Amino acid sequence: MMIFALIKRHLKIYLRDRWAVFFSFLSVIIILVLFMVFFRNAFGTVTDTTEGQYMINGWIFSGVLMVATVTVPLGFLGVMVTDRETNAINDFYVAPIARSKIVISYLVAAIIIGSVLGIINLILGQVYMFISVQTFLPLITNIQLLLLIILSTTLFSSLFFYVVTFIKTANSHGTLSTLVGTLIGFLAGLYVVVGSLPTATRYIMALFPTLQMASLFRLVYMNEALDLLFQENTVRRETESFMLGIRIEIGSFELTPLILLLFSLFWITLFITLSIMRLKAFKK
Amino acid sequence: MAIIEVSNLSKHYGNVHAVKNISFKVKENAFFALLGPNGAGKSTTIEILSTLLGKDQGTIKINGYELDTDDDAIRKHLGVVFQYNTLDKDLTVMENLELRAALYKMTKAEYLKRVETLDRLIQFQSFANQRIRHLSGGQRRKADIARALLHSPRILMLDEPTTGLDPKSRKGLWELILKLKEATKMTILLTTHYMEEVLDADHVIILHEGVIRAEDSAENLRIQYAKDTLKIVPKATLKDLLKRDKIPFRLVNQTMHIDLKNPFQGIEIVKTYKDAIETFEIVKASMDDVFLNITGERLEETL
Repeated sequence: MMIFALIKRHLKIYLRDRWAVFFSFLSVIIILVLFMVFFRNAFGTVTDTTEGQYMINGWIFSGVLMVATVTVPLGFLGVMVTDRETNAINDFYVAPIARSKIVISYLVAAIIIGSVLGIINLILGQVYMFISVQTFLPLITNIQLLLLIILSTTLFSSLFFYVVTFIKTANSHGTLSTLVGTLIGFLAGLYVVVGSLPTATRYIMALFPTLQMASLFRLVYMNEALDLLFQENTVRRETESFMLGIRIEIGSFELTPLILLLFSLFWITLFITLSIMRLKAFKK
Repeated sequence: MAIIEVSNLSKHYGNVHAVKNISFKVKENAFFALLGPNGAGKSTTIEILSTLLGKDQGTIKINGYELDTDDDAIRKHLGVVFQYNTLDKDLTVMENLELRAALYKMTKAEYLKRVETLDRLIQFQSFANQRIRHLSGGQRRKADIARALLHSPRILMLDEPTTGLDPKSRKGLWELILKLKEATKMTILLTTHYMEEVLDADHVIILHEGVIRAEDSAENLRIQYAKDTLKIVPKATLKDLLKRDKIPFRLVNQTMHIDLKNPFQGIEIVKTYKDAIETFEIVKASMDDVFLNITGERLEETL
């Protein structure tokens, strides 16, 4: 009851700051603009066919979905940073509620807002898809994407929750957000074609949760498009999948969907454990 | 009966010893004030008492509960108004109050009834549905006090509540605090660096550099540590007359200052030497004089 009231409060504070919401989506907007202006042409004649457009739309919107699950929780956690900087959090500390619950309420709210805005992104992507190629993703794909949004938001919320516990000012949080917003397009393989990168760079990127989650989103989002585009041509499908960062590998070891899911659970466990260890920093 | 008992409280911030082994008791329903300049240890003390800050040493009992052991039980009966505004600026007054009601597990009916009662005392309905960021300093303070009193605490802690307010808002807020004291019979613990704010207190502690330098009622402190002064603009003969009668005086510019045991002594002096006096005034000792005599510093110089 008390924790729900706090979560509701955090969400209201975030949503009423329209600029904070806008900046949380800035990376998404930049990615869409870059795609429209530059990247679309890089795919050459593939875009001439409906199947090709379907695949490319899937590539860009799966990336956008993934990026939003990174930047929205990070933007939201600015509420916690500001509460600490302005001492507004002291008002909660003098209420009969455990400090750990107060702190955890920010994490839960980050997961909720990231998931909800992720779902809105998913719907907007589907609307665009329908307008451009007159098709919707299958229901099962939508359900899988929904679960992935929640999984990815949980992962990046817990990661950034841990990070922002070290941050004391809104200024530092703004700098971190700018840095993440700039890097995310590269780390998720959105500004670059992953397969064209040097081998060592590819392997290092594959170790980061950003490319791992992006790969999962692409695998689900683009599955049907790849079936339609390459049909029986499995060799071509495989080559393009590695090139576009849909499938990733380290050496000859492919990170299969199951391995990627296990990786994401590992990251969540790691960052939640680290965050719990950081709770002592909030003790009086 | 003491509702707050502090024994040998100490607190360090690195090498700075902010509070040095202080002890005091606050009686139930009392208006208790901690007076001192910035850095005296007032806010540190109140932050420790309000369960915000850990202490290094000492024991504290509030409402019968031990601090650090029963913090939640202590918090249930504590209302705190901080130096700074802690309400959410993008929420309305009512939204802020609703959140705090939930934190104290109040039912909707309890909350609405309490808001009605508080409005009669504080009168905030006219701006209840406005966002905090659109309120004046005085209105924000009223909202802060409503927030602190929402759960009907037995103890209200006010940490320099008038800091940053214009004189009119300060006066209005001060009248409200005195009204609350009368109406609610709560124990009020105030920290301030304004001397006039402690005049109505039942008990005043003067804190200086983390140490209690004096404590008593404001009036007793005045009697004990400061004297009323007779200020005279003299004629030429007065100086010799006072020397002859061995009445000590100080010359401040063209004025003679004579410390008095009480105002009547001043009237006697004026009557005796009226032919040697151009004009005069009897100045009551202030809390500033008390502070000066106790610490050797004027309070406003240390702010």
